[in-house]
Amino acid sequence: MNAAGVTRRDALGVAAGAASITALGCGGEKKVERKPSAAELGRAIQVPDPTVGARFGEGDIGVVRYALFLEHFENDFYKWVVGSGLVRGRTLSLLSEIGRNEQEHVDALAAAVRKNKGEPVKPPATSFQFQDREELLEAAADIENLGAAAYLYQAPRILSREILAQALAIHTVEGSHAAALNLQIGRTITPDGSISAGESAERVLATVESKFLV
Amino acid sequence: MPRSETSQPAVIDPRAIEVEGSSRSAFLTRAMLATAGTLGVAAVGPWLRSALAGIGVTGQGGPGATIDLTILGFALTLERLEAEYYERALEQVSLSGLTKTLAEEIAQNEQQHVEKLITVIQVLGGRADKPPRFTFPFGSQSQFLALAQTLEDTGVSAYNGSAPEVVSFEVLEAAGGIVQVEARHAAAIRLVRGNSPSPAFSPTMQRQQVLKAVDKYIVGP
Repeated sequence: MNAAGVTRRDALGVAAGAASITALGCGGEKKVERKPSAAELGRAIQVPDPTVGARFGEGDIGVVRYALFLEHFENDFYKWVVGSGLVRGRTLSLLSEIGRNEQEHVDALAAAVRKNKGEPVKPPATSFQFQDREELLEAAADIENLGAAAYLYQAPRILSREILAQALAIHTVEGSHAAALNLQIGRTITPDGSISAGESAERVLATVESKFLV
Repeated sequence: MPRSETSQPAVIDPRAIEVEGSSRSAFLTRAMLATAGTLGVAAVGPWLRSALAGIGVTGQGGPGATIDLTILGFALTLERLEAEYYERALEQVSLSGLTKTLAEEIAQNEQQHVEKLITVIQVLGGRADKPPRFTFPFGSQSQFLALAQTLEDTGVSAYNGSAPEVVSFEVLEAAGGIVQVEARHAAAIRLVRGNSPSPAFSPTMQRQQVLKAVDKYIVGP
């Protein structure tokens, strides 16, 4: 913290410099020469998710890479589902369509990683095994609800307006997927009640890894 | 506990921030800042961060507070519209089966959204406007579902369109929690109608566009 006697302008100068947008550099060192907006400073006062920083990189590019990791996982899940023969008819149509959405999410986030000069994200090694249609649908619902919670937790921590807009556009789709799948298995469309809750990366990744990854 | 520079990009000295004005929120913010002076901004509670963001961290009754309150007021109008729509539909439309169950649940959710938004507005030192009066066309269950889908889809687009402008973390967090539920509503209604639950990416609408779209349902103050 600065010593007493530092003027507000100086403090803001430090704040602005420190806040500028180490966000978009892949190694966290690249700085962009512009003063952050009030919105960015407001969001910057918050503490980013340390698990995202540690595993995927600091700042916004880390969030994008984390999202891409989750989307790769979901995409692989749906590809497996479609090939499994465990679901048919309208349920299969629904899951196929959701899977196509996830593929589009992968493509968009991979493009965002490249645009921001981030390191590509390898799809995780998945291992799926379900006894029957019911177990599979329960897993699908769990995965989508978890994905929605993951986006919800990270979104307010994103500094860049452009990346935030992209995350929000996907976040609500995951919520829709979750509700659609909950309906298939007789669960409430709003498991958290009238206001959804976010889930930290530590918990999201622990769940995904313990249940579905090799 | 000190945090590394990389995990806390903004280093703001609270003692250097001047809070102008005599509003209740300015008074509370000055008191909180005095406490935060020795502890550092990172150590204080979330509402101080909101207050700082709300005053734009420039020490002036900033654009931050104004934009967040503008967006919250806009969201409140939409939520009131939706809450009213479902409440009246339950009275005036012959609903049955899953549609009826969903309508009941959604009506409760929308009412809770209204209450949450009013709370957030008040915590930021704003005041919720008096609710406008609404008018809706009611007929069959299938007409009800069609307009419900439009309203939910519009709600999602409206939130996603405005959220990137929001200054305060807590406002964005609340908005995110609400919009996800709107997206859940939308998907359920769409499925009941035999539609796809969602496009791959949610479209956005700007505030002016949204207000134009729902204008026909608002009768005036």
